[in-house]
Amino acid sequence: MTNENVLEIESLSAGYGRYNVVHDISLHIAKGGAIALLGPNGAGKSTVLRAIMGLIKHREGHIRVDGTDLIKMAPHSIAKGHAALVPEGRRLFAGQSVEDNLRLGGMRFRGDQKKVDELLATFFALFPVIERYRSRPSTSLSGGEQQMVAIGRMMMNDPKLMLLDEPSLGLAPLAIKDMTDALVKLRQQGRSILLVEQRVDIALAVCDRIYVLSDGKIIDERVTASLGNDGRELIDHYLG
Amino acid sequence: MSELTINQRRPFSFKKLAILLFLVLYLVLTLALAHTSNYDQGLFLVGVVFAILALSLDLVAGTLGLYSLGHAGLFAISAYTTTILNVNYHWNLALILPFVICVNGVLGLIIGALSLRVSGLYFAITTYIFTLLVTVLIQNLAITGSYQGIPGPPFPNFPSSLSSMGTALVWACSFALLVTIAIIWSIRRSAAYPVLLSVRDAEPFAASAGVRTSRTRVLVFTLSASIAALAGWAFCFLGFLGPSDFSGTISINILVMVILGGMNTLVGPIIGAAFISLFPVVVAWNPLWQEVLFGAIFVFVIVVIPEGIVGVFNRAVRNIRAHFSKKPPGLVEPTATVATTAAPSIEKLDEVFTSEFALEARHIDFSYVPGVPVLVNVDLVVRRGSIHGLIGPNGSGKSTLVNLLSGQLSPNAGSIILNGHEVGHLPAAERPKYGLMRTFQSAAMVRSITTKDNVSIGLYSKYRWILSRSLIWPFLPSGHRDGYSIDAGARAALARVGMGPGWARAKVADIPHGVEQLTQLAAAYVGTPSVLILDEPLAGLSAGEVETIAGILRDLSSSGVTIIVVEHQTRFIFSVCDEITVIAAGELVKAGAASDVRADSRVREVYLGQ
Repeated sequence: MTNENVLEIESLSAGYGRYNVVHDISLHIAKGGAIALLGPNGAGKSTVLRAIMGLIKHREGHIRVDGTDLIKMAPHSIAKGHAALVPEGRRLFAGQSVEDNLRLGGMRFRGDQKKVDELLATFFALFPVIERYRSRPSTSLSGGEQQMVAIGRMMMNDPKLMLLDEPSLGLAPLAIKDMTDALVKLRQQGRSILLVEQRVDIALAVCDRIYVLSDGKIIDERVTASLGNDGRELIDHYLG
Repeated sequence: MSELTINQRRPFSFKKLAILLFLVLYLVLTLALAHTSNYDQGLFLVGVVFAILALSLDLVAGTLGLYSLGHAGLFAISAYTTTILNVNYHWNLALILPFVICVNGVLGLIIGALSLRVSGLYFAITTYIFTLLVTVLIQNLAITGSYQGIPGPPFPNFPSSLSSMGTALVWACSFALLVTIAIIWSIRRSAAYPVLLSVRDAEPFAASAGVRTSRTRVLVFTLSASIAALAGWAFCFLGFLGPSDFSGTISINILVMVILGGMNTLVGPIIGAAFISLFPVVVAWNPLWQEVLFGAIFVFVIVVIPEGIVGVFNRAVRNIRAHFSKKPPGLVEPTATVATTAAPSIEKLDEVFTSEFALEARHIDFSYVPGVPVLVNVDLVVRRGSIHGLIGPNGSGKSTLVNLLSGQLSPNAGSIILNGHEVGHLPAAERPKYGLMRTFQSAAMVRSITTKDNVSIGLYSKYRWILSRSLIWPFLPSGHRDGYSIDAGARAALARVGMGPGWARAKVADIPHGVEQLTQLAAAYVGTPSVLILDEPLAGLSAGEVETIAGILRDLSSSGVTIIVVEHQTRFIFSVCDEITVIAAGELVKAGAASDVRADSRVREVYLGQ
């Protein structure tokens, strides 16, 4: 199993203070695969992401990324290429230019200018629109463009596993389309993705499997291909 | 709602008994202290003076987030004024007290006005300079005795018939502290308290609920300065006044008392003042090591228990309670977000509006930076009783337009007519009077208080004199009455958006995002608006929660509320809205019936991407 899966979560419980928000969940992502976590607010989707990144102290179980267990690791060690997160609401560094935001994402390659430039070039090849704005303040971009930069900042880390927390939040339909296309392109490059979303259509377009989370437990797991193209069944069942 | 507003009289109330017990205990303690030695009384009185100062500082620092270092200066002015007026001009001490309270009040008004221009660190520095200025004056004026200082006036003793009461000064100081405690206690129990916290933590939310945030800050600072006058008046009877009693270090010490005891609490500042006043007496070693130990204790508190002594106590109580209940705090009964029981129906709007349009914004121009227009000649005309969608690509100016409508910004050109009144020039806090309420995209409310208290802020413009009445709120029949009615109104509004009583007790910090959006909706709806603006109410909501909100909006609309909604979820917009306005790059693209807008080729191109 370990050789085929980029992420294996085994009986993970995590939460804040003494309370668990996520109870004993297990899931996996095959190398180059993508899964989505769906579920209502408060179900614990973001908590799973925060637990993987080590941003929650209170966590038990196993989180293996490419065979390495992250459960006892500090966030700064996890960020050394194991996993990287696009946080909800983008959270760009407001005072910095687009390029500085991106370069900060490649922090772990500091000293290796060649690698950073290479990653930057990869990103701009994928999002040529953003290259025009590289010296603009990050906050002067539109919401959709800022989301691209946030994804770019995560890509600059060159992680084994990419985590995205509701990237469609607050975006107009056109921007959502661009963002979804970008995620599909990342998959074509062989990237592994864990996506947290409210929008079932985006999950269907990007991922090959979907987990439904409710009250901190996984209540269903589906292969996207079996869901048709609108996921109506899933919505009616759990989310409607 | 009216049947809930009646104050139910109960023959026995635990709260009243507790207050009575506190008063008796307080008087007995004062009596006991009034008979102790001069040395002990001196210690006690210094503690009392600093307790008054710490309470007055916490009123602005803890509740409003204004970290004033000017309190030592205010303290000095009232102490010297009292002394000089009594010793040099033979004014009666009882007459001087209201006089110094007024003097400090005026100074507080002036310093408070600074908080409108500078805040945070800059406010602290500016007020610190005020204290330095006062100290320099004291050190150099002949009338204040320059560096030597001047002796304070004697305090008259009780007439011999009352000599069994002990030292009169102890009674006077004790009474001053009691008054201060009563005022702070009243404010913290009044409907004004959540409002003050919203001025600190959620200014746009407060303003759009009708709170004049600047005025509130200035007034509360004025009150705080007046209370500090009480401390100065009492202090001058304790002996000699010298510049070192009022230096900048004292300002910082007062702040340390507040932080040590617990910010934004009633008991914390008193404990902090007692601790710091007694510390040099109890730990009477070599002064150097005493200072070092004191510094170490303070660093320890800041690092390990930043919430102060009272905060630690509260946390322990919470933990013990949580230990006995399995569920997370705040999330009592987290059943379904949607209560199926019939919610109270919306009250009919008082006024009858004749105009066909509830809101007409015409020819709006706006730019943040001159030369870079954000909105150019935009019209938004909203039919009364309709649900009107405002859509456009990210960065097209929707939020800016909404901020212009609600008064967070004012337009460079154009007119905004709300229910027949031109409101374009009015500040945000004035617009609820013309029937407008709004919500914000996210994180708009006060996180440290319950959802119910947040919703009650939305009722601010419906009740008169909330701020001034808060000084004696629990002692006023109208305070009780309005307290009940605000409470009931807030609960009803929460029920109306489908949140059960369990959620009403949860702090906003503890609730999931979807519930926070519902709370915001309740806080806007509770003010019985005729026009309700919702800025991305669905961001981050699941499909089920979207349905809930859609249902609520249809209900509100059918009861006569005009709704403007900014949203990206096209399925929601096209199914819920009657009319839609589309803007892109700051210009109007299309406005009209939902079906027309959906079919428009430009809309499909710039927004839908089809």
